[in-house]
Amino acid sequence: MNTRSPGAAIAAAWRRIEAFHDEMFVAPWRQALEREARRQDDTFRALVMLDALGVENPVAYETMELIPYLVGDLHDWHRRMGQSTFGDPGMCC
Amino acid sequence: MLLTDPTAAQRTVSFFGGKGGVGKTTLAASYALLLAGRGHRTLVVSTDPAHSLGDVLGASLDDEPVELDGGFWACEIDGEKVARRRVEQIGEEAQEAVPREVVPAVERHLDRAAASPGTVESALVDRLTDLLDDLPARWDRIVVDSAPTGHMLRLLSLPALLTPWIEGLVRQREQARGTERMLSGLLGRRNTGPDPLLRRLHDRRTRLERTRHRLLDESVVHLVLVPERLPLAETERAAQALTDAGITLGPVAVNRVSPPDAEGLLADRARQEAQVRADIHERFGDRGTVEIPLLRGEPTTRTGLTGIAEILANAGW
Repeated sequence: MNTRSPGAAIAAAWRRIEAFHDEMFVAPWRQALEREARRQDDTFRALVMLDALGVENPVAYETMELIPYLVGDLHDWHRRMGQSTFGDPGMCC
Repeated sequence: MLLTDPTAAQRTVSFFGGKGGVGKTTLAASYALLLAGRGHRTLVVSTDPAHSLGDVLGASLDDEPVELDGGFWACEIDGEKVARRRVEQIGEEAQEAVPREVVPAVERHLDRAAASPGTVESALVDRLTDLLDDLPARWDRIVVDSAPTGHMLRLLSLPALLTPWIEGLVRQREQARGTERMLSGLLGRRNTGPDPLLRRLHDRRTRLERTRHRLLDESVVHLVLVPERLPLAETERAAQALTDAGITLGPVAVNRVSPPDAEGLLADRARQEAQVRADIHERFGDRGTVEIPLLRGEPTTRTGLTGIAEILANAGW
């Protein structure tokens, strides 16, 4: 015997639909967004750290202050870029 | 076509530029003394890596302006030193801000940035910006003894060249932050607040913009040459490049003109110079020219400089 009120049944169905929607559409979108955020972050890091990539950087002096913020996760970055080692001795690994 | 700017004389910043060895430093120092003598608090600053301003003024100069006479200041900027100082300062700030194990990597990356090809010039502009920012609180007028032509052209055009690059970085960073914010919203995370990187980029851009405007709106360049063919050719090219960059050209100074009543070798020189002087007048007469006669000795004493200052004053400078 069904003890639930019609309202509770609708709410339960709604939650199921929501979970289904989340799995089908939101999760992939979120993953895509995460990838996009990381890609944009990597692009910015590459633009500021051109010197580390062996490319002449005309604004090296102007952007020096950004370096401390970007060096911390340099290792994750070059691993993501598909390089197991990076830079000259001492630059990273 | 070069345009005469009647406001050139009222501009607060005067650059002296020209080929190496034509007397830029002597003229810059003389002009600065003239301005100081008129009661303007005047700073004369050398941006030439091979400084000779201190030698001309008979004083030991460095980065920080010193008052040589009442209201007359002088300094020599060393781009490498300015860059080193900035590296040290950022390195010290990083000690507090980043994990201890990251500090050596930060220092290596800073050293690499400091060794970048454009760094010394950027550092010169940075220091010059500090000095320009002290107008009018500390000085009424600034006279810049520039490095030879090519260097000066680059120095004057650098803020305009770098600004769009910084703007590109700002856009990239804003885009990345926008995506991150969207993601944070989706995951129900709290907003992380203002971005220190964006703030720093905005500060640098504002600084470069300010200097770019000062160079366009408050500065005038005096080209210096000696009455010979090669310096004239270089001066014509420099005048064109400066005009293309939107920089105002002031009167041209023709230095070391041989006396008309000479004999022997000097008389030959005077004849050759006459043709070049006519060409200079034709080319630059509309913006004014001033001729400084060849002197018996180098004008290294204050009296020598005052003598040249009088010639400039008589020419309406």
